[in-house]
Amino acid sequence: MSETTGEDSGPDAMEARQWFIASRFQEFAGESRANLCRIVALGSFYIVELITFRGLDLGVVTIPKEPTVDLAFHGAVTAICVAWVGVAVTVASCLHRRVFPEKLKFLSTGADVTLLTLMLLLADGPRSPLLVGYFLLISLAGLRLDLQLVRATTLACVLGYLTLLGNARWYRQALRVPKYHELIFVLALVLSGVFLGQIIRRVRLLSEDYSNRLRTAEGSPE
Amino acid sequence: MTGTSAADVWTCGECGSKNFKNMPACWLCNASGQSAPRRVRAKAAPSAIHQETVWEQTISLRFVVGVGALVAFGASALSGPVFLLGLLLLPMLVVAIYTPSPDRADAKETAIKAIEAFGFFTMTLAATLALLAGALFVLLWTVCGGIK
Repeated sequence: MSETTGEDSGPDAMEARQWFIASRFQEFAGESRANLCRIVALGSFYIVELITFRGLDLGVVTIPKEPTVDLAFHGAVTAICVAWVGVAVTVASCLHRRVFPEKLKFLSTGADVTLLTLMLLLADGPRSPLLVGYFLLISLAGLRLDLQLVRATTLACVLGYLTLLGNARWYRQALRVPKYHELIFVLALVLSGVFLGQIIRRVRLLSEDYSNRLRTAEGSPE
Repeated sequence: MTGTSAADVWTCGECGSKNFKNMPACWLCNASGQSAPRRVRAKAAPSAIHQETVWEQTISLRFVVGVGALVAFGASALSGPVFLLGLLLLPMLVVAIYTPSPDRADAKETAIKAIEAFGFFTMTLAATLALLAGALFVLLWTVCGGIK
């Protein structure tokens, strides 16, 4: 989705310009939706953390207090969540003010991957169930319909996972996982990015096909 | 997200999105705001930003407020820097609520302002109550030696 100024003449330049404008609209709507999803996911996971920190007893549903989730852990998780809400507030403010540079989506996604990796470093690293968060972030990248962003997010997620593996290998050996586990997870991350990229390509083909069919239908006699 | 008057914004003639008066080029398509054919009065063209997206951003802010209050509640169980960090959420949420948007310059401005005022009130009340409830919870926890 490179920027086209529209100053060039010719049908190709005009089509590229229109595609650029349509893509920017979709990026804006996607960023807005991604921010909503980000804050919903953050709130949901934080509720789970609060429940494991305090315990829950509703009679029918009982979730015992997790002994490993102590006050220090809760404090660290809360600090990360405050930073994450800060990211969501900043993105929301930018969108409202129509401050929407092309790199905003990369910055917000980079912040997401960094904060998730920090959260996982605090928790059980490569053994944590929160690892699924990386897949959620790759899915969120797909909302912006930008191949470059999906590639960058996939790469960032793989790097984040490798950081966790390095941390487990050199500092917290109790959290190490078997090699095949690591390979499967990295492959799953990469393939998620590839599959999502295929969906984005299909969306572009769909819109082009639809546009061509409309033009043909308008040109054909009744 | 306060309302802006029609005089404060211009609409890009190329992509139809609204821009603040001081923006030299369109925020969305980068078309220059100085070239006359591309710069039309805000009321002359409908906003290209779909109303659904504007509505979604309002909903998004409500969620930000809710989760901010939730995290503030979580922070209130703590003391020291993390609690202070939780308190920082309050001014951040105020900034978010009062961020202006060029797409607010329409006939619904008055109603939107009223909703925004309600949102601001709700946000302040929710975050304050969350912090107070959390502090009370910690106090009871300490006094009673832990709630069984």
